[in-house]
Amino acid sequence: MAESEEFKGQVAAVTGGAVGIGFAICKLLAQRGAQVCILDLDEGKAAEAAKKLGEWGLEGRAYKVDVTKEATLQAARDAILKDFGHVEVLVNNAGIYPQATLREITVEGWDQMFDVNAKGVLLTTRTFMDPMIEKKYGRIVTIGTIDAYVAKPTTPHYAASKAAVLSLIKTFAAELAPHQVLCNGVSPGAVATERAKASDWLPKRLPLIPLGRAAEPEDMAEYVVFLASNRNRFMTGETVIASGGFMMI
Amino acid sequence: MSDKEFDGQVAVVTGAAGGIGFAIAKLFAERGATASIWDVDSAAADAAAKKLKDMGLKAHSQGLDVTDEEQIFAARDATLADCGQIDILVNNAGLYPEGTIQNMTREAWDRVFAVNVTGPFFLMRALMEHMKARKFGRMVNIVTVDAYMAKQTKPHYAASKAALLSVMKTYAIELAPHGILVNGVSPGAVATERAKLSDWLEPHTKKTPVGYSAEPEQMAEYVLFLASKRNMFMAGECIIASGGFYVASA
Ligand SMILES: NC(=O)c1ccc[n+]([C@@H]2O[C@H](COP(=O)([O-])OP(=O)(O)OC[C@H]3O[C@@H](n4cnc5c(N)ncnc54)[C@H](O)[C@@H]3O)[C@@H](O)[C@H]2O)c1
Ligand SMILES: NC(=O)c1ccc[n+]([C@@H]2O[C@H](COP(=O)([O-])OP(=O)(O)OC[C@H]3O[C@@H](n4cnc5c(N)ncnc54)[C@H](O)[C@@H]3O)[C@@H](O)[C@H]2O)c1
Repeated sequence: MAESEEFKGQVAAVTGGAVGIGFAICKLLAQRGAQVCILDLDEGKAAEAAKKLGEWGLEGRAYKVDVTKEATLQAARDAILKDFGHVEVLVNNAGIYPQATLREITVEGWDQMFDVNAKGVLLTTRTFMDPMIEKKYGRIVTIGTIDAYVAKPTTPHYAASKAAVLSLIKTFAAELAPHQVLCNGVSPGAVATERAKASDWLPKRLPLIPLGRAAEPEDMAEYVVFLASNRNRFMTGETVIASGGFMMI
Repeated sequence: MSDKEFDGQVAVVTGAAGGIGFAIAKLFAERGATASIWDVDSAAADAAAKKLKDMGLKAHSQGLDVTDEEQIFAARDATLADCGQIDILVNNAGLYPEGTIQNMTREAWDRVFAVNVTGPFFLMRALMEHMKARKFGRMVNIVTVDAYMAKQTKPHYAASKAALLSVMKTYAIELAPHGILVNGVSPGAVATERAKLSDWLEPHTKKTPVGYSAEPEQMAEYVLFLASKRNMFMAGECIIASGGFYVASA
């Protein structure tokens, strides 16, 4: 099988796919033959991303969603089913990570973090699982973070919301395994996205990474795409940690 | 990735005369590598390499007992002489004899640790300088879900694989700065010939949420992914591929 045909005939939906890690995932899935649906809150950036894929001769279409609003997800799913007839891959990538210490977190800030990162994953998965169950085939990959396992004073609500996501991944897996829908996660360490590069935590993290560098979004996309592929036929309920060795120390 | 993702690379797989190891060696060869089959059963290793060569693939064989450091050195030197380089090491050779706390003998305990822990430790050490000099390497260790879970049988097996997890991390931290990524794969039930003869495969499969045990070829995919250049940022991790068995029972 040629590299460009691995996902031939498959449709993949990626939330937060307009920029950053999500866009790298969209690009790699498209390069490997998938028809990619870019689901994002930022309609303009999503359209730009789809256009960029098109310029590279790849297939991408933009759909506006807010992962905290189930109706928008259902509308996107129905549009995708109308456009393509099926969907085999879902990547729950949309997420936010504003900084705030225990003292600074507001109730609204806490709720928003859990709304997007945790509830969004539940709602998106629930919306997209039905066509997969029907087909008796599906791959769902959800993005965690190493902050879910290690303490960091600046983002306790982010860490907690992603820890909830790790738990959800296991529930999805147990529920959907009999339908041959495999659900896994990827927990990235530091990834040099534009947003991360604009932050003050990235340079502080670098000296602590045994591999001596942050990941490129493209590095992270490989783990997601592997778990989303039919090469993965026996792994479910697991979250792969790709942190350049940071998690070990 | 391409059809021949491992073109020009040499992959050593221990215990590759049969079972999961052979499936790993075969997939490496199908994707372009020279598969170097190292096994204590040297006749079976030769036969396995011949099988691959008859399919038009590149293969090499080497007899060795992984518990003997001198034999490790000899296998390494012979492989380097024959194949020129070693890019990948898969520590797959392993024993999983039955046993309980009550009937465990010292000999049985020691043998399992010798093959499952001591072997991989000295194999990684024997190959790391060569990989360091080339600033590239991938090492993958085959662990098991038993390393994380309590079971009343095979305590020596579970403990030896838990020790292997620790050894794997030490190498990962030591070698990450040299571009050598060390990771592991923990399989759940895999329907190898040996496992099919056992009385645990069937009950284990029944408890596996996806409803089947893995074919050796399916397990090989995880090993090849971690051994490939697609994996550029993962070190010291062990991925669990158990068909959901681990998450459902943990
Ligand atoms: N960058 C890192 O170092 C890093 C590390 C670990 C984990 N992560 C995780 O990776 C994922 C992507 O991170 P990134 O750095 O690429 O982020 P990013 O901010 O660059 O991109 C996130 C995308 O999600 C979209 N989005 C935000 N809220 C949304 C909503 N309610 N509905 C739909 N779309 C929404 C945004 O519009 C944006 O396009 C996140 O889940 C993040 O937590 C990132
Ligand atoms: N089969 C399963 O369900 C399962 C599950 C989890 C983990 N594993 C692990 O996968 C690995 C392979 O298992 P398998 O089922 O294919 O086993 P297997 O018994 O079919 O094959 C093991 C191979 O290792 C070789 N070997 C044994 N001792 C050796 C030594 N001292 N030096 C060199 N070679 C030696 C054997 O000759 C044999 O070819 C083992 O590490 C095992 O613990 C297997």
